[in-house]
Amino acid sequence: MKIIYHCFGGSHSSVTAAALHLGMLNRNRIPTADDLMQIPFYDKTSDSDFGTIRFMGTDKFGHDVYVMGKKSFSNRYSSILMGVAKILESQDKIIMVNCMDRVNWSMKIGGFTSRRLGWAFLGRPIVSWGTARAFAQLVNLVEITRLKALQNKHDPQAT
Amino acid sequence: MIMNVIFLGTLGIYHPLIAAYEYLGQLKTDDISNLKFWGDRVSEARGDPLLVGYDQQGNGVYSLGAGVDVIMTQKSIEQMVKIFDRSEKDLIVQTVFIKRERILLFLHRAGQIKAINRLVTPLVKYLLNQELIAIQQQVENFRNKVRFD
Repeated sequence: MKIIYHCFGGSHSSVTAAALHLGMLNRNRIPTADDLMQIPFYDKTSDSDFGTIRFMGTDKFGHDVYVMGKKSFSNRYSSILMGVAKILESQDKIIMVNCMDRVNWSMKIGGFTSRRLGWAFLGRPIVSWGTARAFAQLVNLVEITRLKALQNKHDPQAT
Repeated sequence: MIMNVIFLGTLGIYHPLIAAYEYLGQLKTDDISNLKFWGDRVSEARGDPLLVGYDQQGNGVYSLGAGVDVIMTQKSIEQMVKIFDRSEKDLIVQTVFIKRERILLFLHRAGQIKAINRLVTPLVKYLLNQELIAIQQQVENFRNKVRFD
């Protein structure tokens, strides 16, 4: 199974969710800014990374976990990529997870300031603070996704 | 050789659709608005590639719209193909562009209002009729590229 977490920039919420999924972050402890900065790709992307599907790792069940930034496309981007998977006869081997509804204003403002304006010194503390505040929401999203992936493994029709 | 083709542009219900029909050799230029999916906003909003038909080898030919982010979408699709250990031999994405992309997008958005849509529809048709030769040329270049590969 391929699991793609996606958000606006593929830099904060999707990366945090993927890190949680892969056990890089402890789900029982709110991460510090240093913890977040240790995650590969966290607040390290540029405009040229939009649309790039980046591999984050493989979970203990053998699912490959990826992250992606898709700008302001809503669930339509999931439909596009699910449609492509269908053409490749692989629609039962992929889960697209939209992280945007777990993103708070601090993450949006901090992410914009750090990545788009390039003022990491200002944006990074704000986005880290926002990520910590959204952490429980992201844990919840990852748990739902994990269950979905396990369910699909046993019953591919359940997508 | 098995190879599905997606023609990708700003709006999958217009110029990539024309390109797909042209590629299949089924384009009737007398009235392009009679093409299946032409101006079909519901299909466009759904987002998944529109199956236009099958070529002589049985490969699917699709049309897809991605708004202003055509290149980003092309990149994602090409990476999806690789993630599934497939190659261009399974699925190839061909972008289709016209000179008046911005005008077309504006008209499409304005046409969301039903009353305006009646005015927009003939304008879109006129605009794309002006671009037909350029679209056909892009398809011909693609055919040559595929043949050469």
